[in-house]
Amino acid sequence: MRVSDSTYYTLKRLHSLSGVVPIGAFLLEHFLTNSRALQGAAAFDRAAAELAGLPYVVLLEAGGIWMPILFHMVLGILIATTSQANLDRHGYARNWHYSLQRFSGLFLVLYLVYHTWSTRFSAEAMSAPSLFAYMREHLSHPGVFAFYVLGVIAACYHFGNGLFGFAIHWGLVTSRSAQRWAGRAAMAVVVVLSLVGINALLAFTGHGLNLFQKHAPPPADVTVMNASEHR
Amino acid sequence: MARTTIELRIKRQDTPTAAPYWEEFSMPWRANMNVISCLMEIRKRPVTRAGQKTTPIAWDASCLEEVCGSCTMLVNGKPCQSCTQLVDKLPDAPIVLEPLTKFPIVRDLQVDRTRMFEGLKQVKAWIAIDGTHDLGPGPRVSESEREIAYAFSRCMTCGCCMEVCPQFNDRSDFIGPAPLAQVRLFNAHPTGHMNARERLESIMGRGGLSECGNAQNCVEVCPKEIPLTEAFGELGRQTTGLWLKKLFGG
Ligand code: SF4
Ligand code: SF4
Ligand code: FES
Repeated sequence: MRVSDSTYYTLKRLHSLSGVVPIGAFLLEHFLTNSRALQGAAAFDRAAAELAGLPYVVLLEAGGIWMPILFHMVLGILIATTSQANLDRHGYARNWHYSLQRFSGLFLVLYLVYHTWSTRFSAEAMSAPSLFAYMREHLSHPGVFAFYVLGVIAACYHFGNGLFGFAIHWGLVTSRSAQRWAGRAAMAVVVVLSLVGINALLAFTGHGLNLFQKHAPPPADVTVMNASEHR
Repeated sequence: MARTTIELRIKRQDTPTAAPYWEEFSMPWRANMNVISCLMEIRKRPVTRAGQKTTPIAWDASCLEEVCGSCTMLVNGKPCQSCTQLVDKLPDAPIVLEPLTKFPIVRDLQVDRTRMFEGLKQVKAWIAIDGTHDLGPGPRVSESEREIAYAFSRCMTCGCCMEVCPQFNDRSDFIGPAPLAQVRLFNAHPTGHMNARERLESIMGRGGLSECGNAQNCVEVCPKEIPLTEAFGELGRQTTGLWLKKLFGG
């Protein structure tokens, strides 16, 4: 498919933008909701039900999540095919990031297919009475857990490092020192988000750490399904 | 340990389509030799290390003082100017010479860098003056801008930046870092600024600025230390402005 030059530029701009809003914004929301698991099964299930019960939810999901992700993925794969990675010859730090950005993106395609299928469309997920219980069961397989940890890290990396690219593409940072700081800030985002994401995963297995909370949360006793009274 | 001989491994290719092959050479060490003076030694007596007679090696060079860029090749895998690459600065091991990999090979270490010059034409890397009458002196440029402009004007189209750019290859139409940086240079010039929009439009399509993947290898290897990635940030800002202006009717 050949598109005109100006459409091409617009598509590239939208690719860059969609990674931040809405996909990046969704990632943050997703982590926040999943971190409800730290507060117990009931808190998480309630948060999930709350989201599912939002007005216009189908429109929000389709237009705000599925379509942007699909668009970002398809264009991203096309972009990755124009690259000729040369880490072996030129091992500069930013070249590593360049390659990792493409690699994490491709990995995320795999991960997201598995992740959405297993948590949204698989028979077990559809019939599970409690999403929390289902996730606990799902993540109790070490292989699945490890795959999820990798997925979380890849997503955080792709998003955080993507912010760096975004800042240059849109001309938010121009000087060498500003770009260097943007790179450091991006890595800080990657680390913090990864820890948050992994902690949420741990919460499902009952090992999450309750950090930075104002009120003492109820014990993360996953067997008490109506722990909400404690809050 | 100081070397007493200079050993070279050179990748050769007889015609643009012939298969490449390697040849090894050896010569007595002398102080202050550079890669080109080694090639000149071989030209005097084109005999391989094994004593086999061979053809002289073809390479490009012109200025011999790192301002024309034509002698650029890979020395031990790194793109650089062979005229200023001192042998004594290289590790005491056979020096490996290869032609640049991103441009078509003419012969041996000679490559055809037309693609880079096409890029310069595409972005109109010049100041348009028609020359039919005296325009008088041009507007003055501030000292700070002059300094930046000077940095960009040092580009010698050597192709080092294109060589290491993962986005500059046969699979993409990317014009590469060097021509992009020239857009930054000529758009900031008071007279050149009159064609700023045209230049920006020339890099807003396929193969333009948005092809850059921010690997930032280019700026690592540029022998003239041209602030390439700063140019990309500034051009990103300028093209974004123009894009919005065009989208919303400007
Ligand atoms: S920008 Fe630097 S590396 Fe690239 S062609 Fe010009 S001088 Fe060579
Ligand atoms: S910053 Fe852009 S132009 Fe420079 S090497 Fe990386 S991809 Fe190529
Ligand atoms: S001969 Fe001109 S740069 Fe080497």
